Amino acid sequence: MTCEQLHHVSLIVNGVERSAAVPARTLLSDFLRHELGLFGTHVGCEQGVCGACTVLIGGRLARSCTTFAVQVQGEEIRTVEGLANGDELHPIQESFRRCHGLQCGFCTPGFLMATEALLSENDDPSDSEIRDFLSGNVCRCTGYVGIVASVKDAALRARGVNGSDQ
Amino acid sequence: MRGLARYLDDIELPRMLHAAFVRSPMAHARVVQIDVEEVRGMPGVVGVFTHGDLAGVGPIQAIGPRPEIKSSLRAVLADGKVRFVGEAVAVVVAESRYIAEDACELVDVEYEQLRVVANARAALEPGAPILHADLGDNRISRIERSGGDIDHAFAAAAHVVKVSFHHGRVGALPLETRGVIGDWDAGTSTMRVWNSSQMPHLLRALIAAPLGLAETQLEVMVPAVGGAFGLKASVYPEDIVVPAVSRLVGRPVKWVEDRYENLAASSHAKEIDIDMEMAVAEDGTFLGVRAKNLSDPGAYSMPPFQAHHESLGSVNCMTGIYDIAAASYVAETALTNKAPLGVYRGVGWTPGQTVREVLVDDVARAIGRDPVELRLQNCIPDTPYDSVIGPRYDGGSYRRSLELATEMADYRGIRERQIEQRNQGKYVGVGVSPYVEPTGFGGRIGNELGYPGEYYDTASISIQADGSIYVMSGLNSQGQSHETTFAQLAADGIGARIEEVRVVQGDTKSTPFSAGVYASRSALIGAATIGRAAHEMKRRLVALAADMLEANVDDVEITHGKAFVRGAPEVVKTIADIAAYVHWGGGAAAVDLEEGALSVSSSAAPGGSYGNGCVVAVVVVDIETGKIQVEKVVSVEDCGTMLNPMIVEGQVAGAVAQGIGDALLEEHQYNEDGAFMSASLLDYLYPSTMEIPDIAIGHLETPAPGVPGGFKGLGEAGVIATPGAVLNAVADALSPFGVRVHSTPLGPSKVLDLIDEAREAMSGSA
Amino acid sequence: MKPESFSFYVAESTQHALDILAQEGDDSKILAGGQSLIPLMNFRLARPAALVDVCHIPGSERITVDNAGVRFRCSVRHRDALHSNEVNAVAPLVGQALKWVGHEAIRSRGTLCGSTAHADPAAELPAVWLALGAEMVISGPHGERHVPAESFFKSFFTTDLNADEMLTEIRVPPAPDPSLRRTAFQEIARRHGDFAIVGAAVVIDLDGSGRIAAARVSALGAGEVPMRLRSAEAMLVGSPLDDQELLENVEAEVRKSVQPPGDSHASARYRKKVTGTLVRRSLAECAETPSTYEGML
Repeated sequence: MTCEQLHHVSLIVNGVERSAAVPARTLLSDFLRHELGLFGTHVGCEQGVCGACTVLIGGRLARSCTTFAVQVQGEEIRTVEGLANGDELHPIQESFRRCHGLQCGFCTPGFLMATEALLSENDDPSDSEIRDFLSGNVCRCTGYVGIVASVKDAALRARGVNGSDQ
Repeated sequence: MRGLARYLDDIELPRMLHAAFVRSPMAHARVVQIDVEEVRGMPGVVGVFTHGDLAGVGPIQAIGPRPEIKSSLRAVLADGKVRFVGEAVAVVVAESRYIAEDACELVDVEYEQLRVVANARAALEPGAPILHADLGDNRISRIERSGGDIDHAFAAAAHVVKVSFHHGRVGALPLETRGVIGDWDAGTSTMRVWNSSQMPHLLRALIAAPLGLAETQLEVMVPAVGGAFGLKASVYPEDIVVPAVSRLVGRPVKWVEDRYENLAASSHAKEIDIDMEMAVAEDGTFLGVRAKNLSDPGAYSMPPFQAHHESLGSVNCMTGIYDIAAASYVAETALTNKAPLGVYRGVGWTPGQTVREVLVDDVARAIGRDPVELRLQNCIPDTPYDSVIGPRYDGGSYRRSLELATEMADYRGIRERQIEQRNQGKYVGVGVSPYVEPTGFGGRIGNELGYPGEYYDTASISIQADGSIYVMSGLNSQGQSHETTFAQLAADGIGARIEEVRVVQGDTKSTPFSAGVYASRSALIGAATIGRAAHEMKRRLVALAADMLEANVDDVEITHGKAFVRGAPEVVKTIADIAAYVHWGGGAAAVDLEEGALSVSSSAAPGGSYGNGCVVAVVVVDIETGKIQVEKVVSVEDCGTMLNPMIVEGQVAGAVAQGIGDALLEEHQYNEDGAFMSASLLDYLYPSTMEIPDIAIGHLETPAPGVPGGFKGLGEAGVIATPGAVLNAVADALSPFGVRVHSTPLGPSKVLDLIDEAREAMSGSA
Repeated sequence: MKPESFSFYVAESTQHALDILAQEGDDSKILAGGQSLIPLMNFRLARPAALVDVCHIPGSERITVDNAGVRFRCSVRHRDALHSNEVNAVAPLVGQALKWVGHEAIRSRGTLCGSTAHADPAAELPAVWLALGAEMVISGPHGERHVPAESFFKSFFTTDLNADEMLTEIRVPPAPDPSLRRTAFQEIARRHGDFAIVGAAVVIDLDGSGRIAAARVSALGAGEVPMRLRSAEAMLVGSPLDDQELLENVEAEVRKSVQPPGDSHASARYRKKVTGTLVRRSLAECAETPSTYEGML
């Protein structure tokens, strides 16, 4: 076996240019986590099913475990680390906190990114639209009840209505 | 939330290497030879190890706690034989996980295929291959018990209704897989282990000897855990192999289970065949119940819970909330060539509850009674009640929970609309499943249920010089929000502000002993240990404040972090003032307190308590495609005094979702050759947002007698009771065809088969 | 679950992609969205020695709608087709089916050509191409060839594509009279977003009197390739669409004509039966739903 050729991959991650030289087979999830140290993107299956590794690539929802870092050369990536503004939670995070949208927290980054993508195209989704849009993200703890409530709360906030004060 | 929590795979140590395992593709085979030569020279590979390279490491011992349960051993890497697909045969340690996996493919293992034991029935047939020669045969446990006059009950019965039920093989499948980091410090002869375990202290106790270490040489640390549900409460080979190879290569080694490994080779759950029959009097009174079961625990018995836990658990709950004067069981377990059964939320109780509640519905249909009325007729009183077969319930809301849940679900309304809807081609069904379950597993309940042993847990509380408060607990959270619950318990007990409390958990070096987080232990044990320590801490703070305020201790009150003399709240000593007084003021010597006044440690061995409740499910079945849509689930819970309704509801809803998965979607399948058919999440089906309906939750509170605070556990009820409710709802929807539902999971293909079979049976008998 | 190593190329043109395929040989593969290929590589069930990323070929993301119908170039993503007003206006069956494909995160990266070339027998799009009479445009070392969808799918995960060729475009012909076209897509999956157990795609062209002038019915999950159900189609032609008895006869005919395999998700018998049910329901949906076609834009 010969040493693998390295590719210089450069991405704009949460607004900051980040780069590293990696083998072509490096999954974007591994690139973000282990090359850039952005551990907020979680890996739950590497089979493209569970959605824990969901990020935004060029503003679109994508699974980083079924994307090679070399495929997204130069693209804009948003991860969960890009949501909060310092200590100030993003409104979606605030809703998940208030409405008990998370328990173990492992699936949460994926759900937050999916919610961000949903609300950016539809700021008043119905229950069934929320469930349909989030159906590619698995949560094993909450039974989705708290998550759906959180997304509705976040939508209310996004429309400028005060969220529930549970 | 902000992506800042640190889970196991987020830990990176200097010079850390990565492990990957070579796993058996064979269900049952002799390992003739392992050739690792091709791997040794690979760039990036640091070491490759087989059983022979790990002399003195292992085995994992499962010591039978009762004479009816055989003790057994498991090598940490295959010792000449593999017994299920996915069993670890060798381990490669390399500079990256990618390279380690490349190397695994080049390890050349020669197998000689052996005959496969495909299921537990086959395991007991004469001439079946024996998995473990030293056990003599494959029957690893057989437990019998009888209470009341069972023969008389059946002789006196007007009706006897039987079911033969198969509960499928499922998995806990936390979203975060397992993971282990071993880091041997040769300088101090100390092994540091990070492990995503539910039971750091028990894990330490169980892996120390296989690693040849004293417990004081072993530090087990549990970082944030991304769900566990029981899967992370067993001892696995990797828990030992990874630290062992770290010691061999002299560098930290990380292994994170991938999803294939998690599906194929961690642990499965709940597979069991149960035959159960009920003797019923003419008026519908349940006279007696008899069960015989056979669980398929796979190839190994996994400590600490071992191979018999499903078979024994499922008969322990065979009488449920019903007043039945006689019961008997035979609970058996026989080893097969499948992944071992571990524990998953609602151990034993899930299949046991499901089959009993399905049987009760079958009885109701057989004798023409409404299933809810029949249940109420046979319900035990709300006062403490000793069942005839083991559990001694400490009082609850058995009847009321059933009534409330059916009211919330509009049971009567559904029944009224049902016929009309059927005529329009819409098959709606409603099913109920009332339950009572042991929570906060402790010595008393353990002994009642045939798990002899004592359990104790400890918590400590200390107040620092600035008034900030540490709560140390060996119980660690995997998403149950212990940090919040425990901080609240401590703050309430002490009279402190919750913001001042920091909960430390999951580190065997800094936290005191705990028997672990499983069987809904945390609320009870936390309350007992932390509550007791907090109470003592408050007593000391009050004494100190009284000294500072020059008042009588009986007149001093402490609340929200402030101490004052009752009736004179304007003069206040904060906990920070008191802490400074003790640490720096020297004045504390005037108070009669022992050394370390602001450090309290408290142990408790609570016996546990029984929680109860009822789940109602409403389904619609498409009789042409077999597709089942769960329209509504109502869950009424009585977990004693409620600590935090939001956390309770989160636990309930999550467990209900798992129960729906259990009933309709999830199954680990093997074919007859022992090949594993569920290697991906497209084969093993987690429920998504679209399969889970909105879940309505009702609360009842019957405080647990004899438990500080009156708390009961609740984490498992949804998984226990929901499958029975869903299956009963499906059978109810399909009752015009005479369908009986006696297995899980209920996929659309099976639903159509059931309808066809029932139609054929009807036309045959007509 | 990490993939094996491979050489990686970004194609700048179709010719460039073909040159790389020729140079790298049989073990090289086209990479588009990767939503089918990369999971297989993570499992090490696919081990290409080289990958050629075609998503950066200029114009490859283009959807063209004109008098010749709809053309999807090689890196058109599911999401773009699903949200294309033009596509929904002239070929609504594409959107009707794409709703069933995976989830948002998969649809935003997965490509129509990629999942078509992957040829999973339970995938939605191949059956759609059959029902729409689509044509596959294949580029290779000897130029371009056009293959009807029906001849494109050969067996499980196997198409007419040679190792040195790539699928560069999918062409959907226009409806004879868009206002008289009815389409429907139905499937059953055990879990939302998963590959179907079975499914059906139906395209009906009515004549001026409301009778069926032409019918194209295809099934997925009912065999090792998506298939036209010609005997059912033949029964439909000349009849009104709202003939309940006819639909039941078609259902029975479909059940007789398909020979699906069984697997861990559903038995052969189930697939046979439910394929018939879904064809009947799709036809009923066509009968109940007015045309959504807006004709050529």
